Amino acid sequence: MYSDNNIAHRDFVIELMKSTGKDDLNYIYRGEFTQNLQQHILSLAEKNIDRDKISGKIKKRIFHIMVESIQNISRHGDAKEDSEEMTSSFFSIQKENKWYYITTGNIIENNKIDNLKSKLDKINSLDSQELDKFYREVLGNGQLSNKGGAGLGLIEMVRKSGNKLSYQIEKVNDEVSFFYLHSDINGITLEEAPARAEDSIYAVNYMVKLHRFVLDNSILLIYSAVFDQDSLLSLISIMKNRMSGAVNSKKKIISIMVEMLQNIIHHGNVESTRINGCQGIFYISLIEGKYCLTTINYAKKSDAEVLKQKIDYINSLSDEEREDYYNERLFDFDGGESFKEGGLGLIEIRNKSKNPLEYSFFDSGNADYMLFKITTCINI
Amino acid sequence: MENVFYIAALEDSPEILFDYQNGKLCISGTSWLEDAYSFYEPLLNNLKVYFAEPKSLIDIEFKFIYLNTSSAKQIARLISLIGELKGECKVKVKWSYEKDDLEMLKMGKKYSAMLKVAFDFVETDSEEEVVDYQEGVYNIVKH
Repeated sequence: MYSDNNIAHRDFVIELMKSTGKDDLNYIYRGEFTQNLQQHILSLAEKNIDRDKISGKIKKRIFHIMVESIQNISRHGDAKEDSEEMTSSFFSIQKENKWYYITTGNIIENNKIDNLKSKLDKINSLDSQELDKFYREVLGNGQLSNKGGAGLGLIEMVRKSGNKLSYQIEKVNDEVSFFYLHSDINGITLEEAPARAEDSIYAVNYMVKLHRFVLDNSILLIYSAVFDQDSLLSLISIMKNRMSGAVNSKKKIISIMVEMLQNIIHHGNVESTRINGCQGIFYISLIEGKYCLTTINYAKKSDAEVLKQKIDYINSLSDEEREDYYNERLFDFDGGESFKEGGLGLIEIRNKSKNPLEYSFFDSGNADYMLFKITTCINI
Repeated sequence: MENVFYIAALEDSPEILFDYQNGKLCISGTSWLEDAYSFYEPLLNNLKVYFAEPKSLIDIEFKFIYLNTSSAKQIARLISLIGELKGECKVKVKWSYEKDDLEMLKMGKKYSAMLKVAFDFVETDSEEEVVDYQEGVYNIVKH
Protein backbone atom coordinates (compact mmCIF):
# COMPACT_ATOMS: atom_id res chain seq x y z
CA MET A 1 0.00 0.00 0.00
CA TYR A 2 2.80 2.33 0.88
CA SER A 3 5.13 1.94 -2.03
CA ASP A 4 5.62 4.34 -4.88
CA ASN A 5 3.74 1.93 -7.10
CA ASN A 6 0.73 3.61 -5.65
CA ILE A 7 0.86 6.57 -7.97
CA ALA A 8 -2.36 8.10 -6.72
CA HIS A 9 -1.03 8.19 -3.17
CA ARG A 10 2.27 9.70 -4.22
CA ASP A 11 0.68 12.32 -6.41
CA PHE A 12 -1.73 13.35 -3.71
CA VAL A 13 1.04 14.00 -1.21
CA ILE A 14 3.19 15.79 -3.73
CA GLU A 15 0.29 17.95 -4.84
CA LEU A 16 -0.37 18.75 -1.20
CA MET A 17 3.21 19.81 -0.74
CA LYS A 18 3.38 21.79 -3.98
CA SER A 19 0.17 23.61 -3.18
CA THR A 20 1.64 24.75 0.12
CA GLY A 21 3.32 28.08 -0.54
CA LYS A 22 6.40 29.48 1.13
CA ASP A 23 4.56 31.03 4.07
CA ASP A 24 1.67 28.60 4.09
CA LEU A 25 0.80 25.84 6.48
CA ASN A 26 -0.80 22.51 5.90
CA TYR A 27 -1.19 20.43 9.00
CA ILE A 28 -3.49 17.58 9.82
CA TYR A 29 -3.52 15.37 12.88
CA ARG A 30 -5.65 12.27 13.17
CA GLY A 31 -6.15 10.10 16.19
CA GLU A 32 -6.75 10.41 19.88
CA PHE A 33 -7.36 13.73 21.56
CA THR A 34 -6.33 13.34 25.16
CA GLN A 35 -5.89 16.51 27.20
CA ASN A 36 -2.13 16.23 26.95
CA LEU A 37 -2.18 15.62 23.20
CA GLN A 38 -4.49 18.57 22.63
CA GLN A 39 -1.89 20.88 24.14
CA HIS A 40 0.86 19.56 21.89
CA ILE A 41 -1.29 19.53 18.75
CA LEU A 42 -2.25 23.16 19.33
CA SER A 43 1.28 24.15 20.20
CA LEU A 44 2.57 23.18 16.74
CA ALA A 45 -0.13 25.26 15.06
CA GLU A 46 0.44 28.17 17.43
CA LYS A 47 4.17 28.28 16.81
CA ASN A 48 3.49 28.55 13.10
CA ILE A 49 0.86 31.25 13.40
CA ASP A 50 2.97 33.18 15.87
CA ARG A 51 5.51 33.77 13.13
CA ASP A 52 2.94 35.28 10.77
CA LYS A 53 2.88 38.99 10.21
CA ILE A 54 -0.72 39.52 11.21
CA SER A 55 -2.17 41.48 14.09
CA GLY A 56 -1.96 40.03 17.58
CA LYS A 57 -5.68 40.43 17.92
CA ILE A 58 -6.35 38.19 14.95
CA LYS A 59 -3.79 35.65 16.17
CA LYS A 60 -5.62 35.48 19.47
CA ARG A 61 -8.88 34.88 17.66
CA ILE A 62 -7.35 32.10 15.59
CA PHE A 63 -6.00 30.45 18.74
CA HIS A 64 -9.39 30.79 20.35
CA ILE A 65 -11.13 29.10 17.42
CA MET A 66 -8.51 26.34 17.40
CA VAL A 67 -9.16 25.64 21.07
CA GLU A 68 -12.95 25.63 20.61
CA SER A 69 -12.58 23.35 17.57
CA ILE A 70 -10.37 20.83 19.27
CA GLN A 71 -12.59 20.80 22.34
CA ASN A 72 -15.60 20.13 20.13
CA ILE A 73 -13.97 16.87 19.09
CA SER A 74 -13.74 15.54 22.60
CA ARG A 75 -16.93 17.20 23.78
CA HIS A 76 -19.24 16.07 21.03
CA GLY A 77 -17.44 13.06 19.67
CA ASP A 78 -19.64 10.01 20.21
CA ALA A 79 -17.14 7.32 19.34
CA LYS A 80 -16.75 4.48 21.78
CA GLU A 81 -13.51 4.43 23.74
CA ASP A 82 -10.66 2.61 22.00
CA SER A 83 -12.73 2.04 18.90
CA GLU A 84 -11.50 2.59 15.39
CA GLU A 85 -14.01 5.41 15.16
CA MET A 86 -12.26 7.13 18.02
CA THR A 87 -8.98 7.38 16.15
CA SER A 88 -10.63 8.63 12.98
CA SER A 89 -11.18 12.07 14.53
CA PHE A 90 -8.98 14.81 13.17
CA PHE A 91 -7.91 18.39 13.62
CA SER A 92 -6.52 20.37 10.77
CA ILE A 93 -5.29 23.85 10.00
CA GLN A 94 -4.41 25.23 6.60
CA LYS A 95 -3.11 28.63 5.75
CA GLU A 96 -3.14 30.03 2.26
CA ASN A 97 -2.90 33.64 1.12
CA LYS A 98 -3.73 35.13 4.51
CA TRP A 99 -6.71 32.88 4.97
CA TYR A 100 -6.77 30.36 7.79
CA TYR A 101 -8.93 27.26 7.63
CA ILE A 102 -9.59 25.22 10.70
CA THR A 103 -11.38 21.93 10.26
CA THR A 104 -12.26 19.17 12.66
CA GLY A 105 -14.00 15.89 12.19
CA ASN A 106 -15.53 13.46 14.62
CA ILE A 107 -18.10 10.72 14.96
CA ILE A 108 -21.62 11.60 16.06
CA GLU A 109 -24.67 9.46 16.67
CA ASN A 110 -27.23 9.70 13.90
CA ASN A 111 -30.03 10.57 16.31
CA LYS A 112 -28.24 13.80 17.22
CA ILE A 113 -27.82 15.02 13.68
CA ASP A 114 -31.13 16.89 13.37
CA ASN A 115 -30.53 18.81 16.56
CA LEU A 116 -26.97 19.70 15.60
CA LYS A 117 -28.00 20.79 12.11
CA SER A 118 -30.75 23.06 13.39
CA LYS A 119 -28.35 24.58 15.91
CA LEU A 120 -25.76 25.27 13.22
CA ASP A 121 -28.30 26.59 10.74
CA LYS A 122 -29.72 28.89 13.37
CA ILE A 123 -26.27 30.25 14.31
CA ASN A 124 -25.42 30.73 10.64
CA SER A 125 -28.66 32.64 10.01
CA LEU A 126 -27.95 35.32 12.61
CA ASP A 127 -26.15 38.61 12.08
CA SER A 128 -23.55 39.69 14.62
CA GLN A 129 -25.96 41.57 16.89
CA GLU A 130 -28.42 38.70 16.90
CA LEU A 131 -25.56 36.36 17.59
CA ASP A 132 -24.52 38.33 20.68
CA LYS A 133 -28.07 38.28 21.91
CA PHE A 134 -28.40 34.56 21.27
CA TYR A 135 -25.10 33.94 23.06
CA ARG A 136 -26.38 35.73 26.18
CA GLU A 137 -29.64 33.82 25.99
CA VAL A 138 -27.96 30.44 25.82
CA LEU A 139 -25.57 31.46 28.57
CA GLY A 140 -28.47 32.70 30.72
CA ASN A 141 -30.92 29.85 30.46
CA GLY A 142 -28.15 27.40 31.21
CA GLN A 143 -29.49 24.53 29.14
CA LEU A 144 -26.07 22.98 29.15
CA SER A 145 -25.86 19.55 27.67
CA ASN A 146 -24.34 16.86 29.85
CA LYS A 147 -21.05 17.32 28.02
CA GLY A 148 -21.06 21.04 28.70
CA GLY A 149 -22.02 22.20 25.24
CA ALA A 150 -25.32 23.91 24.32
CA GLY A 151 -23.63 25.38 21.29
CA LEU A 152 -21.73 28.16 23.05
CA GLY A 153 -18.52 26.95 21.44
CA LEU A 154 -20.11 27.06 18.01
CA ILE A 155 -21.43 30.58 18.59
CA GLU A 156 -17.98 31.65 19.75
CA MET A 157 -16.40 30.26 16.60
CA VAL A 158 -18.67 32.36 14.41
CA ARG A 159 -18.20 35.47 16.57
CA LYS A 160 -14.41 35.16 16.56
CA SER A 161 -14.01 34.33 12.88
CA GLY A 162 -16.63 36.76 11.60
CA ASN A 163 -17.62 34.00 9.22
CA LYS A 164 -20.31 31.39 9.12
CA LEU A 165 -19.44 27.81 9.87
CA SER A 166 -19.33 25.24 7.12
CA TYR A 167 -20.19 21.69 7.94
CA GLN A 168 -20.74 18.38 6.27
CA ILE A 169 -22.14 15.13 7.56
CA GLU A 170 -21.19 11.79 6.03
CA LYS A 171 -23.07 8.69 7.06
CA VAL A 172 -20.84 5.89 8.35
CA ASN A 173 -23.51 3.30 9.20
CA ASP A 174 -27.03 3.08 10.71
CA GLU A 175 -25.79 4.29 14.06
CA VAL A 176 -23.16 6.94 13.45
CA SER A 177 -22.00 9.56 10.99
CA PHE A 178 -18.89 11.62 10.55
CA PHE A 179 -19.30 15.30 11.27
CA TYR A 180 -16.98 17.85 9.63
CA LEU A 181 -16.87 21.38 10.99
CA HIS A 182 -14.96 24.10 9.20
CA SER A 183 -14.10 27.74 9.98
CA ASP A 184 -12.56 30.33 7.68
CA ILE A 185 -10.66 33.21 9.23
CA ASN A 186 -9.25 36.09 7.30
CA GLY A 187 -5.82 37.09 8.54
CA ILE A 188 -6.08 40.72 7.48
CA THR A 189 -9.34 42.01 8.83
CA LEU A 190 -12.22 40.91 10.98
CA GLU A 191 -14.11 44.18 10.97
CA GLU A 192 -16.02 43.56 7.81
CA ALA A 193 -15.70 39.96 6.87
CA PRO A 194 -14.57 39.98 3.26
CA ALA A 195 -16.08 37.59 0.82
CA ARG A 196 -15.27 34.11 1.94
CA ALA A 197 -12.61 32.26 0.09
CA GLU A 198 -15.09 30.06 -1.72
CA ASP A 199 -12.57 29.31 -4.43
CA SER A 200 -10.00 27.99 -1.98
CA ILE A 201 -9.18 24.34 -2.30
CA TYR A 202 -9.50 24.10 1.47
CA ALA A 203 -13.28 24.18 1.51
CA VAL A 204 -15.07 21.64 3.61
CA ASN A 205 -15.60 19.19 0.74
CA TYR A 206 -11.85 19.17 0.08
CA MET A 207 -11.27 18.43 3.74
CA VAL A 208 -13.61 15.44 3.48
CA LYS A 209 -11.42 14.12 0.66
CA LEU A 210 -8.24 14.83 2.61
CA HIS A 211 -9.65 12.99 5.60
CA ARG A 212 -10.56 10.01 3.42
CA PHE A 213 -7.00 9.96 2.07
CA VAL A 214 -5.56 10.11 5.57
CA LEU A 215 -7.74 7.19 6.71
CA ASP A 216 -7.09 5.08 3.60
CA ASN A 217 -3.35 5.46 4.06
CA SER A 218 -3.36 5.07 7.85
CA ILE A 219 -1.75 8.48 8.23
CA LEU A 220 -1.48 9.92 11.72
CA LEU A 221 -0.08 13.30 10.86
CA ILE A 222 0.84 15.44 7.88
CA TYR A 223 2.88 18.58 8.29
CA SER A 224 3.93 20.84 5.50
CA ALA A 225 5.28 24.29 6.36
CA VAL A 226 8.41 25.76 7.87
CA PHE A 227 10.81 23.20 9.27
CA ASP A 228 12.90 24.42 12.14
CA GLN A 229 13.94 23.28 15.59
CA ASP A 230 10.73 24.66 17.11
CA SER A 231 8.41 22.73 14.83
CA LEU A 232 10.61 19.66 15.27
CA LEU A 233 10.15 19.81 19.05
CA SER A 234 6.39 20.19 18.70
CA LEU A 235 6.17 17.28 16.28
CA ILE A 236 8.16 15.13 18.67
CA SER A 237 5.95 16.06 21.61
CA ILE A 238 2.88 15.04 19.62
CA MET A 239 4.36 11.73 18.58
CA LYS A 240 5.76 10.94 22.02
CA ASN A 241 2.27 11.21 23.41
CA ARG A 242 0.57 9.60 20.46
CA MET A 243 2.66 6.45 20.13
CA SER A 244 2.11 3.37 22.15
CA GLY A 245 4.64 0.64 22.70
CA ALA A 246 7.82 -0.01 24.62
CA VAL A 247 9.87 3.02 25.69
CA ASN A 248 12.83 1.93 23.60
CA SER A 249 10.87 1.42 20.39
CA LYS A 250 9.42 4.88 20.86
CA LYS A 251 12.89 6.29 21.47
CA LYS A 252 14.12 4.71 18.28
CA ILE A 253 11.29 6.24 16.26
CA ILE A 254 11.81 9.64 17.88
CA SER A 255 15.54 9.50 17.10
CA ILE A 256 14.88 8.65 13.46
CA MET A 257 12.32 11.44 13.29
CA VAL A 258 14.89 13.93 14.60
CA GLU A 259 17.39 12.90 11.92
CA MET A 260 14.83 13.04 9.11
CA LEU A 261 13.46 16.43 10.15
CA GLN A 262 16.93 17.88 10.66
CA ASN A 263 17.81 16.70 7.16
CA ILE A 264 15.04 18.97 5.88
CA ILE A 265 16.16 21.81 8.14
CA HIS A 266 19.72 21.54 6.80
CA HIS A 267 19.13 20.69 3.18
CA GLY A 268 15.59 21.69 2.36
CA ASN A 269 16.22 25.39 2.55
CA VAL A 270 14.37 27.11 -0.24
CA GLU A 271 14.86 30.65 1.05
CA SER A 272 17.65 31.33 -1.37
CA THR A 273 15.89 29.79 -4.33
CA ARG A 274 13.14 30.92 -6.60
CA ILE A 275 10.91 28.10 -5.47
CA ASN A 276 7.76 29.60 -4.13
CA GLY A 277 6.96 26.57 -2.04
CA CYS A 278 7.37 25.40 1.52
CA GLN A 279 10.51 23.57 2.60
CA GLY A 280 8.96 20.17 2.54
CA ILE A 281 6.43 17.77 3.90
CA PHE A 282 6.59 15.25 6.70
CA TYR A 283 4.04 12.57 7.35
CA ILE A 284 3.78 9.55 9.54
CA SER A 285 1.55 6.53 9.19
CA LEU A 286 0.89 3.44 11.24
CA ILE A 287 0.48 0.39 9.06
CA GLU A 288 0.12 -3.07 10.56
CA GLY A 289 2.11 -2.23 13.65
CA LYS A 290 4.80 -0.42 11.67
CA TYR A 291 5.40 3.30 11.91
CA CYS A 292 6.37 4.73 8.54
CA LEU A 293 7.99 8.15 8.43
CA THR A 294 8.29 10.04 5.17
CA THR A 295 9.84 13.34 4.24
CA ILE A 296 9.85 15.07 0.88
CA ASN A 297 11.95 18.13 0.21
CA TYR A 298 13.62 20.02 -2.61
CA ALA A 299 17.12 18.95 -3.61
CA LYS A 300 19.34 20.72 -6.13
CA LYS A 301 19.56 18.70 -9.31
CA SER A 302 23.34 18.96 -9.11
CA ASP A 303 23.28 17.40 -5.60
CA ALA A 304 20.78 14.69 -6.45
CA GLU A 305 23.32 12.34 -8.03
CA VAL A 306 25.67 12.58 -5.04
CA LEU A 307 22.81 11.95 -2.65
CA LYS A 308 21.64 8.97 -4.69
CA GLN A 309 25.12 7.48 -4.72
CA LYS A 310 25.47 7.97 -1.00
CA ILE A 311 22.19 6.23 -0.19
CA ASP A 312 22.88 3.39 -2.61
CA TYR A 313 26.26 2.95 -0.97
CA ILE A 314 24.77 2.84 2.53
CA ASN A 315 22.16 0.34 1.33
CA SER A 316 24.84 -1.85 -0.24
CA LEU A 317 26.82 -2.28 2.99
CA SER A 318 26.50 -5.23 5.32
CA ASP A 319 25.74 -4.49 8.99
CA GLU A 320 29.40 -4.80 9.85
CA GLU A 321 30.60 -2.65 6.98
CA ARG A 322 28.04 -0.02 7.85
CA GLU A 323 29.23 0.02 11.43
CA ASP A 324 32.78 0.63 10.22
CA TYR A 325 31.60 3.34 7.86
CA TYR A 326 29.70 5.05 10.69
CA ASN A 327 32.72 4.98 12.99
CA GLU A 328 34.96 6.26 10.26
CA ARG A 329 32.65 9.23 9.67
CA LEU A 330 32.13 9.80 13.41
CA PHE A 331 35.83 10.23 14.07
CA ASP A 332 36.68 12.06 10.87
CA PHE A 333 37.60 15.62 11.80
CA ASP A 334 39.25 16.67 8.57
CA GLY A 335 37.55 20.02 8.16
CA GLY A 336 34.84 20.69 5.62
CA GLU A 337 31.28 19.70 6.06
CA SER A 338 32.08 16.51 7.94
CA PHE A 339 33.62 18.58 10.69
CA LYS A 340 30.30 20.03 11.71
CA GLU A 341 27.66 17.69 10.40
CA GLY A 342 29.35 14.43 9.81
CA GLY A 343 26.76 13.20 7.31
CA LEU A 344 25.88 10.54 9.83
CA GLY A 345 22.12 11.07 9.67
CA LEU A 346 21.33 8.69 6.83
CA ILE A 347 23.54 5.93 8.25
CA GLU A 348 21.84 6.34 11.60
CA ILE A 349 18.37 6.16 10.04
CA ARG A 350 19.41 2.97 8.23
CA ASN A 351 20.90 1.45 11.40
CA LYS A 352 18.00 2.25 13.67
CA SER A 353 15.25 1.25 11.26
CA LYS A 354 16.98 -2.05 10.41
CA ASN A 355 15.61 -1.64 6.89
CA PRO A 356 17.17 -0.35 3.67
CA LEU A 357 16.53 3.33 2.96
CA GLU A 358 13.62 3.73 0.54
CA TYR A 359 13.96 6.81 -1.58
CA SER A 360 12.95 8.35 -4.86
CA PHE A 361 13.34 11.54 -6.85
CA PHE A 362 10.54 13.34 -8.66
CA ASP A 363 10.24 16.29 -10.95
CA SER A 364 9.54 19.43 -8.93
CA GLY A 365 8.40 21.62 -11.79
CA ASN A 366 11.51 23.75 -11.23
CA ALA A 367 14.41 23.48 -13.65
CA ASP A 368 17.10 23.41 -10.94
CA TYR A 369 15.44 21.26 -8.31
CA MET A 370 14.17 17.74 -7.82
CA LEU A 371 11.87 16.49 -5.12
CA PHE A 372 13.58 14.02 -2.85
CA LYS A 373 11.44 11.56 -0.95
CA ILE A 374 12.64 9.20 1.74
CA THR A 375 10.62 6.72 3.79
CA THR A 376 11.63 4.78 6.86
CA CYS A 377 9.49 2.06 8.40
CA ILE A 378 10.08 0.80 11.92
CA ASN A 379 8.47 -2.17 13.62
CA ILE A 380 7.21 -1.44 17.07
CA MET B 1 38.77 31.33 34.59
CA GLU B 2 35.71 30.95 36.81
CA ASN B 3 35.32 27.89 38.96
CA VAL B 4 32.40 26.45 37.12
CA PHE B 5 31.20 26.33 33.53
CA TYR B 6 27.50 25.72 33.51
CA ILE B 7 24.76 25.50 30.86
CA ALA B 8 21.20 24.67 31.89
CA ALA B 9 19.27 22.03 29.99
CA LEU B 10 16.64 22.96 27.43
CA GLU B 11 14.18 20.78 25.61
CA ASP B 12 16.76 20.02 22.94
CA SER B 13 20.06 20.56 24.71
CA PRO B 14 21.74 18.91 27.69
CA GLU B 15 22.89 20.31 30.99
CA ILE B 16 26.62 20.84 31.20
CA LEU B 17 28.43 21.23 34.48
CA PHE B 18 32.19 21.55 34.45
CA ASP B 19 33.68 22.04 37.89
CA TYR B 20 37.32 22.89 37.26
CA GLN B 21 38.52 22.76 40.86
CA ASN B 22 37.33 19.24 41.41
CA GLY B 23 38.05 18.19 37.84
CA LYS B 24 34.45 17.08 37.29
CA LEU B 25 32.53 17.32 34.05
CA CYS B 26 28.97 16.14 33.69
CA ILE B 27 26.83 16.29 30.54
CA SER B 28 23.29 15.05 30.92
CA GLY B 29 19.96 15.09 29.11
CA THR B 30 18.78 15.28 25.55
CA SER B 31 21.04 16.53 22.79
CA TRP B 32 18.98 17.14 19.66
CA LEU B 33 20.91 20.18 18.62
CA GLU B 34 20.64 21.30 15.07
CA ASP B 35 23.89 23.23 15.31
CA ALA B 36 25.74 21.05 17.78
CA TYR B 37 29.06 22.52 16.75
CA SER B 38 28.24 25.99 18.15
CA PHE B 39 26.77 24.50 21.29
CA TYR B 40 29.73 22.29 22.24
CA GLU B 41 32.54 24.53 20.99
CA PRO B 42 32.70 26.66 24.20
CA LEU B 43 33.04 23.50 26.27
CA LEU B 44 35.86 22.27 24.05
CA ASN B 45 37.60 25.62 24.44
CA ASN B 46 37.25 25.40 28.21
CA LEU B 47 38.77 21.94 28.18
CA LYS B 48 41.78 23.36 26.37
CA VAL B 49 42.16 26.02 29.06
CA TYR B 50 41.68 23.40 31.77
CA PHE B 51 44.43 21.18 30.41
CA ALA B 52 46.80 24.12 29.88
CA GLU B 53 48.25 23.15 33.23
CA PRO B 54 48.93 19.49 34.00
CA LYS B 55 46.13 17.79 35.91
CA SER B 56 46.12 14.56 37.85
CA LEU B 57 42.48 13.51 37.40
CA ILE B 58 39.42 14.34 35.36
CA ASP B 59 36.16 12.71 36.28
CA ILE B 60 33.59 12.74 33.46
CA GLU B 61 30.01 11.62 33.45
CA PHE B 62 27.88 11.36 30.31
CA LYS B 63 24.20 10.80 30.87
CA PHE B 64 22.38 11.11 27.57
CA ILE B 65 18.74 10.32 27.01
CA TYR B 66 18.90 11.22 23.32
CA LEU B 67 21.88 12.02 21.15
CA ASN B 68 21.33 13.07 17.54
CA THR B 69 24.08 12.47 15.01
CA SER B 70 25.30 16.06 14.86
CA SER B 71 25.71 15.99 18.66
CA ALA B 72 27.35 12.55 18.50
CA LYS B 73 29.90 14.08 16.14
CA GLN B 74 30.73 16.85 18.61
CA ILE B 75 31.01 14.40 21.52
CA ALA B 76 33.46 12.49 19.31
CA ARG B 77 35.49 15.69 18.96
CA LEU B 78 35.35 16.23 22.71
CA ILE B 79 36.52 12.68 23.41
CA SER B 80 39.30 12.96 20.92
CA LEU B 81 40.39 16.32 22.36
CA ILE B 82 40.62 14.80 25.84
CA GLY B 83 42.73 12.01 24.37
CA GLU B 84 45.07 14.59 22.86
CA LEU B 85 45.41 16.81 25.91
CA LYS B 86 45.27 14.48 28.86
CA GLY B 87 49.00 13.74 29.05
CA GLU B 88 49.61 12.04 32.38
CA CYS B 89 46.14 12.94 33.66
CA LYS B 90 44.00 10.01 34.72
CA VAL B 91 40.65 10.01 32.93
CA LYS B 92 37.66 8.43 34.63
CA VAL B 93 34.48 8.14 32.55
CA LYS B 94 31.05 7.07 33.64
CA TRP B 95 28.62 6.47 30.80
CA SER B 96 25.02 6.27 31.99
CA TYR B 97 22.30 5.06 29.65
CA GLU B 98 18.64 4.43 30.17
CA LYS B 99 17.38 0.95 30.86
CA ASP B 100 17.50 -1.27 27.74
CA ASP B 101 18.85 1.55 25.57
CA LEU B 102 21.44 -0.62 23.88
CA GLU B 103 22.04 1.97 21.15
CA MET B 104 23.23 4.47 23.75
CA LEU B 105 25.40 1.80 25.37
CA LYS B 106 26.90 1.11 21.95
CA MET B 107 27.71 4.79 21.45
CA GLY B 108 29.55 4.79 24.78
CA LYS B 109 31.55 1.78 23.67
CA LYS B 110 32.59 3.56 20.47
CA TYR B 111 33.87 6.53 22.46
CA SER B 112 35.58 4.27 24.98
CA ALA B 113 37.45 2.48 22.19
CA MET B 114 38.41 5.82 20.64
CA LEU B 115 39.77 7.22 23.91
CA LYS B 116 41.36 3.88 24.84
CA VAL B 117 39.92 4.30 28.34
CA ALA B 118 37.58 1.74 29.89
CA PHE B 119 34.27 3.44 30.71
CA ASP B 120 32.15 2.60 33.67
CA PHE B 121 28.79 1.73 32.08
CA VAL B 122 25.75 2.30 34.26
CA GLU B 123 22.17 1.45 33.39
CA THR B 124 19.60 3.87 34.86
CA ASP B 125 15.80 4.00 35.02
CA SER B 126 13.98 5.64 32.16
CA GLU B 127 13.07 9.26 32.75
CA GLU B 128 10.76 9.53 29.78
CA GLU B 129 7.49 9.58 31.72
CA VAL B 130 8.72 12.35 34.00
CA VAL B 131 9.75 14.48 31.03
CA ASP B 132 6.35 14.09 29.38
CA TYR B 133 4.61 15.14 32.54
CA GLN B 134 6.69 18.27 32.86
CA GLU B 135 6.06 19.22 29.27
CA GLY B 136 2.35 18.84 29.89
CA VAL B 137 2.49 21.18 32.86
CA TYR B 138 4.50 23.70 30.91
CA ASN B 139 1.94 23.81 28.16
CA ILE B 140 -1.01 24.05 30.49
CA VAL B 141 0.58 27.03 32.21
CA LYS B 142 1.34 28.63 28.87
CA HIS B 143 -2.19 28.49 27.50
